[in-house]
Amino acid sequence: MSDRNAFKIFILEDEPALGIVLEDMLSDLGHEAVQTVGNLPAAQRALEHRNFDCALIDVNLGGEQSFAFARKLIDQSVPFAFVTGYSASAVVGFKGVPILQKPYTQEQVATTIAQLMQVRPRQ
Amino acid sequence: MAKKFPEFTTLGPRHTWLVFLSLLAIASVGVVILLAKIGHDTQLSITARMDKIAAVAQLLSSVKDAETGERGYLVTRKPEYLEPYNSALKRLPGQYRNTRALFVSEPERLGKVDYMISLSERKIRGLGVALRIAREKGFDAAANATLDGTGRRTMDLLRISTTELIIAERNDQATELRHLGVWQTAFYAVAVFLILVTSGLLIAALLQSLQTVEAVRKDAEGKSLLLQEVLEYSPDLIFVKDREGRYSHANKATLSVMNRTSAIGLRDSDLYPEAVAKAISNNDAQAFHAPAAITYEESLIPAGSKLRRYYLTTKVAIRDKAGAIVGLLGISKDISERREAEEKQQLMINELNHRVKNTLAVLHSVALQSFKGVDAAKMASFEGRLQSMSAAHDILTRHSWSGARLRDIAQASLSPFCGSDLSRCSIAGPDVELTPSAALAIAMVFHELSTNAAKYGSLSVEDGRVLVEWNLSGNPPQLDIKWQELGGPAPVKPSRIGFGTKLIQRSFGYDPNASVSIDYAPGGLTCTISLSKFAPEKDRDVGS
Repeated sequence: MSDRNAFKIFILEDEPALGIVLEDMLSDLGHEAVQTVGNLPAAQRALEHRNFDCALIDVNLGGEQSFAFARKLIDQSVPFAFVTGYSASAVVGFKGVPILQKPYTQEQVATTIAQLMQVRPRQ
Repeated sequence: MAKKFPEFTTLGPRHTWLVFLSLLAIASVGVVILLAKIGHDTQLSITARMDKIAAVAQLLSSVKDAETGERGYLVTRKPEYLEPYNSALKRLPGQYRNTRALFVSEPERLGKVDYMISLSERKIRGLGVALRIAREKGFDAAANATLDGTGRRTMDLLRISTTELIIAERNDQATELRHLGVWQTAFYAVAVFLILVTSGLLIAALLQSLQTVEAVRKDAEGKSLLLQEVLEYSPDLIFVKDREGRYSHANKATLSVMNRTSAIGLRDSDLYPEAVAKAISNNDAQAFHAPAAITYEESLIPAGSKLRRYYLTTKVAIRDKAGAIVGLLGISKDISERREAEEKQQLMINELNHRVKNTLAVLHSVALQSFKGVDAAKMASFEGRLQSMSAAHDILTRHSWSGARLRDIAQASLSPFCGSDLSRCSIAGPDVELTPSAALAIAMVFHELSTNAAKYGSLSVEDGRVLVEWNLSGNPPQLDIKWQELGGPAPVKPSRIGFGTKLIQRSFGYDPNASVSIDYAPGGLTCTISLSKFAPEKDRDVGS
């Protein structure tokens, strides 16, 4: 990718409408949503063929929490943010990991990605 | 509560005494046996000395008999007077052997016996010589030979040595008798001592065992007291009823519910309103005949209170050693607070579900207002989706969000498009219970397929129909759903994947084994869906 500030982004989200809209927002921002999955086994496989710069992961996947997967992302130094409808206090033990609160605006998504990749947010 | 529970104490110093007395008793038994043996030996020896004296005296007597016979013959010259001589001669060899044998253990005395025997033999020889002279040279010659005094001297020597031997034996006998007296006295003394020691031992052992029994009794008493306290002060209601339902035991918690100081002999019907007592006694009757404990939920309004309390009561029949039922043990836990909390939680969940519905309605109004006059078609599409979601929520809320039936979801999703009597679609499949996630996803997919059919597919023409079928197979079960459009125009595969198609394809992203395929066949669009995560876990609590 020619643009230094355009990133490949992985999405873990089990709500299809939210995943589709998030992809659209990222696309509008000039990023590329390389893959969206809705369950943890699929997320694990995606991590094995890592082809993304950062990840946006939902906390609650049909009753299962994604914290174990989040630890693997940390182990592999993948920048990521939690996307959740829960309040920030529900996410414990992940100091420094940004949280994108649902419902979110495109601007909030831009800020989160910039924070993850430590660049200025794109408009 | 400063109750003192006695402890078992060991009896150290007394043990040492017991060991000492036991050793003494064993030693005494040894001494008694030894003394008895010595006494017995001495007695045997004394008896043996009588035999010895008799043997020696008889030996002398035989020699005298021989002499008497010889003299009688020589004087009377009649052969029958020789009889004592002949019989003595026959007796003597046996008497020699017998006497020697008696003295064989005493070499010094045996020497004297041998001397006696040699004197006796000499005397007998002398007598024999006199008789031969009488036969060969006549009786007068024999009388002269006898009168030379040799025979008399031998006889005197024999008499003296016999007397000496008898006196010696008598002396020994006397000594032994004296000793025997001493041994016997000692025997009796030690025996008495042994009896005393044994008695002491028995008494000590008895005392000790009495003390042990006492200690064990106190220990048991303490434990039973502790158990009683535990039962008595347990926050749970613990009670026992007899076969006729009369209370034979009720702890403090039970009595406080009854608002009484004692319940012994009372029945539930004496304590509670008829309906409550009847419910309790029905449970009792069942528990009485059950092979194991049964737990019931019971409720009552305690005496002197206005609030109903709920109890989880475990009841089990009490049997005697022979296995006959003698009563019923009950333990009731007050679960009123827990029940209240659960009810509150359920209320909150219900409230939350209604708020979700409310939020959807608010969202609808806000959208209507915000996009007024912008694009009527898009607005209708939005409203349709929102309504489909809302309908699925309704079904789930009716079942407290524990799940929903696939048939209900299909009917709710299709009814806006197939007519309220669903005359334009056919829905067929076994009863399938769905998780809330599966129910919402399937509702969403059916809605998208229906709107598409209404716009471009079989529902866009008068005679078009939709078939929805599903079946279950395998273990763990797989759910296969088929959407089939019939009688509509041939579908056209869209050049660009729209939001609706994306929704259909991704709705089951939560299920790692899900597959969705859309086929734009000329006869009508078909969509097949396979799911593995759709059934609620049976033992999962509502709202967890």
